[in-house]
Amino acid sequence: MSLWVDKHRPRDLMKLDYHKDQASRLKNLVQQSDFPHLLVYGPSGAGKKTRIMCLLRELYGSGVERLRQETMNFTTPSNKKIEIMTVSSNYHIEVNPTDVGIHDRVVIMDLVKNVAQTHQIDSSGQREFKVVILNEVDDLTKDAQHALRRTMEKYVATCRLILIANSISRVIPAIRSRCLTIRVPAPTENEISSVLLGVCKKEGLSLPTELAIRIAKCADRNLRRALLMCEACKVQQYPFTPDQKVPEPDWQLYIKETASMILSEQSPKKLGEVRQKLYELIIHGVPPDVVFSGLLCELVKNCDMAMKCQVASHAATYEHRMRLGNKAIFHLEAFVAKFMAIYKKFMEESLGDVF
Amino acid sequence: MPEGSPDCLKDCAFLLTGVLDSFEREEITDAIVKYGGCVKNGISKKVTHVLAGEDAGPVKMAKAQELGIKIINEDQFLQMIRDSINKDVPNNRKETKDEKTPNGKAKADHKATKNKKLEKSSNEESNGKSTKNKMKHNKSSDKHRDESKSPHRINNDSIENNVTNKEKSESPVKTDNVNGAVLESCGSIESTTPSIMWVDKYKPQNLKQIIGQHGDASNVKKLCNWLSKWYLNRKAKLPKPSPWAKNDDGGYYKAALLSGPPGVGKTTTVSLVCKELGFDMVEFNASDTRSKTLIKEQITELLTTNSLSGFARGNIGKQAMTKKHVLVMDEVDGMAGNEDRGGLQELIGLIKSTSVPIICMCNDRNSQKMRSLVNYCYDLRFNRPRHDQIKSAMMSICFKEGVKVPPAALSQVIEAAERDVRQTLHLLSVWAARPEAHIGHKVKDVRLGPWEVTRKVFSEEEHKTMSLHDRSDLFFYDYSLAPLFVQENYLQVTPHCPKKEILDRVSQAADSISLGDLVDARIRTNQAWSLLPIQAMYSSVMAGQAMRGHVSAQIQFPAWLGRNSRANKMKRLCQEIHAHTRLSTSGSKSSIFLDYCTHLRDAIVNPLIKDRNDGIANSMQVLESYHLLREDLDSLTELSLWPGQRNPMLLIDSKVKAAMTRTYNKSGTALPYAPGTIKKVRTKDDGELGDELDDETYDVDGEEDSDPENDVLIKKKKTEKSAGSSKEKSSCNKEKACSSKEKGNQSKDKPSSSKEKKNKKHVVKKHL
Repeated sequence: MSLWVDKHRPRDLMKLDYHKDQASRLKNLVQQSDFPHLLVYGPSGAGKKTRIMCLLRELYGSGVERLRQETMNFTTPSNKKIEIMTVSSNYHIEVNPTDVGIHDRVVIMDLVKNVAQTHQIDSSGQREFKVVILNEVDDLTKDAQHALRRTMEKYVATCRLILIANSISRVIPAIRSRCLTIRVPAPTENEISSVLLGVCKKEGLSLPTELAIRIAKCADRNLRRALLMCEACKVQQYPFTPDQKVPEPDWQLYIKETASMILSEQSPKKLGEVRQKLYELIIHGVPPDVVFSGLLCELVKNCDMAMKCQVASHAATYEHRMRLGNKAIFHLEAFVAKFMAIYKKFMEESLGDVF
Repeated sequence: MPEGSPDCLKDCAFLLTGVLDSFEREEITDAIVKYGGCVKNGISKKVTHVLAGEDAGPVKMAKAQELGIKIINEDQFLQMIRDSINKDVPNNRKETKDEKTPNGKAKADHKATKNKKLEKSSNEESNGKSTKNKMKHNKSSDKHRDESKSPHRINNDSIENNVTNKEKSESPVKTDNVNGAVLESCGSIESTTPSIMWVDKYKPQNLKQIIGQHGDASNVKKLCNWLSKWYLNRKAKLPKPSPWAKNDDGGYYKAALLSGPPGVGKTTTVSLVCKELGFDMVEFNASDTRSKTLIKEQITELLTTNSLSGFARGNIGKQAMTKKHVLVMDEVDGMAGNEDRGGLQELIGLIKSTSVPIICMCNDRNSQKMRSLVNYCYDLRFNRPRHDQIKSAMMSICFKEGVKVPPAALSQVIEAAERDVRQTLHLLSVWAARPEAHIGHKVKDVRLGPWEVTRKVFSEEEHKTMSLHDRSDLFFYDYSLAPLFVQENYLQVTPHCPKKEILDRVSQAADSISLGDLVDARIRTNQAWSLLPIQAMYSSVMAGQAMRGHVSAQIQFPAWLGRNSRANKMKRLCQEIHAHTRLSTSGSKSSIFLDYCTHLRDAIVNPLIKDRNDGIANSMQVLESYHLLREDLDSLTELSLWPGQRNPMLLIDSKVKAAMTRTYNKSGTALPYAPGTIKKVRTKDDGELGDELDDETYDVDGEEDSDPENDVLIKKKKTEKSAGSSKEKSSCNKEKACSSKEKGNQSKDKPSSSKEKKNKKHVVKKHL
């Protein structure tokens, strides 16, 4: 018994719920013989992977759904043995090179070459190329990305790459120019609520439209989150009521808590307490950039326009530094310290006006 | 300030009072110290000059006149310094030629005046101050001579010491011809052959010369007692003393453990004590391999044989053969690594069964490695000798070597070496080689711990005396830890600035720390180590400058390390779950963190809480459809648990949980991946807890289950198991009884074995 997200995942390009014209374009693309490398990007929960699996099914038929997991072993130049889990069918192989951290270059070089150098056994009536799916390309190290660009050209006859990323800003231009970039935008709230209604109908439940919209709002335009939340709502209380409480993800609550702590008092001591909270967020795997944006959204609520700009620009600066640096907590803390200083001054000035 | 000859104010003690015309008090103090004099705070007989300015304290002046101390003004003081230059040349000659006589006279004079003054002051006991002074004086004269700081006394002392040393060093000369020659030459002042290091040259030759080990309660005395009574104590069976007992003479223990910092004289003590009591030392130190087999074979063999060293010394007959050995294991805390594997265990075994005293030495007795050993050893802790104890000994050595060291500089050297006698001697001998290069320089080579460094980074007081260079040097004490320490503790600092600015300062510091991290990333990724000074600036100096003030709380160890390893663990768990659920989910790792884990956990756990045993099937289905292992459920709960939340696993009835685990074990679903590899990784992480152990815990869970229809197999197993265990227990008991008997036998055997040894010795003698 899977969760709804996975149970009701569309398997056919034509059955996708939104971005239908994009789906039909993809279908046309498949029917032509030359199929380029793809770089699919878009925010989390927009349906990139679903779309790609549909595309593969369109390419090779239902054979791609017979998946198997394998562990592959590689040896780095420094003689370190690394393992990586791959998911593959007869026609494609999917791998997440960032699992091995800084050794991702070895994976790219060995694995992609291996796959690319072997031809399809029976090419009659089939495509003569295999597909390699690489996940989280934007988190690849620069070395790995450079290793990728040559391989992409060299083995184009036998192998196509599908790269998945959240944003292409960290993909080097050399790779971007070698791929057909496909943006999968996040679904709108209306689209999400219609999907929710559809899923509930399939499950034989009646979902009030208001509740569907409220869940969609809470889910931050992330369809996966919306579906999971919807199911959680069902577990919490069924039959649904329109004013039912929608459980927010714990980490969002935690970020809000942290933000209200920052607003309540500005002092070095409070900053120390905030640091502990930030540590907790990082430990629980909340990406630091999400923490940045979450904090910023909560903090600027209490600011006037001039200060909003100032705070946002500081947040941007420190997030940029975080990307360049090693230890996210340093930059998060620096941002909070900066905000505290600005906010305290602002509060004192406005209070001074009152008296 | 006029230039004077060095040490022109030697033997002078000044008391400053009133306001001087042209100098600050500190300047004058520095000048006096520079020229070898000393400055006193209160008036006493030790004071030779009172330097009076305007508004001099009337009480002090009166007192000075009473004691007959010379009162001078500023001009006279300056004149004293100027005069010294003129006298300089003849003065030096005098000093070298007949140093003893004038000093001796001076001392005599001094004493005479002292006595007079004593009488005087005793007449005026009504005056509170005078009584205080007297008390002070009496105390100082009662104390060991070493303590006095006036140059007079040190000189006298050094001469006396010198004489006694000579006398003492003559005694071993007679017995020890080879060493004697060297000793004689080094005893005399004239010979300055630098053939031996000072450390060896001035090594204590008898017990009394060991610095800081004079009292009755000193470690030397204790060790002597223990060693001399060792054989007696073996016959008398003593009870084990309680670990809190004071004044224990260690009679119970067969081994002694000497612990203390390096350079305080542990090894010297042992060798001298052994020499004094006529024991033969068999020494093993870190340069020998001390593995289990080696200790077993070689050492036990060594200890049962007799030393023939007496013959080499020319003794004949019985005296030639020493019977008494002592095994000295130096640097036992260095017994580690592959080469010395099992060495400590074997050593403990050796201590239990030994027939000779064993002395072990280590630096840190609280370390993990020593934990088992300390239970079998008489504990003797060596502390660092007091500052003045080292100082007096060093003064006498300097005198012998003809090196002039200003007392203040000597104090600095001693402090720099952290009261390590050996190190101090080395530093001094370097000084002696090139004295002019060091004069006026501080001895800086002190190693600071990260805590001390962090305090210095933020303390405004320290900043005053440090250049920018010094401050960036603080970073380099440990460049990998320093930024973490700074980051952890900068919020604990109270900056000295108006309250309004505090947050600005904090933000500045945080900003520079964040920039420091950028540099760090650049260094680590590109191996650009030349950027380290820049990181020092950002991560330590600028942050310290922004927050300059004082550290108002205890300095903490960086939490980042712990947090980071926890974050990594979470990431690993998540990656595992991601790999397992890969076939049925589509998201990336972070989507597992952010979205899936709570919902997946609830989907599995909720049926168990709500429907209890009936819910098992439901949650099993979820596990199956996501290809999760039982262990993954625990990881899921760990991932999704936030501080302040209740662990939902605790809400599940333990019986239900056990039943679920059992169903899981029975079901044996086909997994699309090889779970074996993952298990292996886990077992490694859990510290070699094998799969068997897991199974056992499951069985224990099974025993809790009261439902008899649940599983027949398990029930059978249970009975078998319990029977087996009871058997085992009984056999265990038997074994214990046996072993205790054996122990008794062993203890009885011991005297007989020693007899055997004696017999052996007889045989040896006969052969000879």
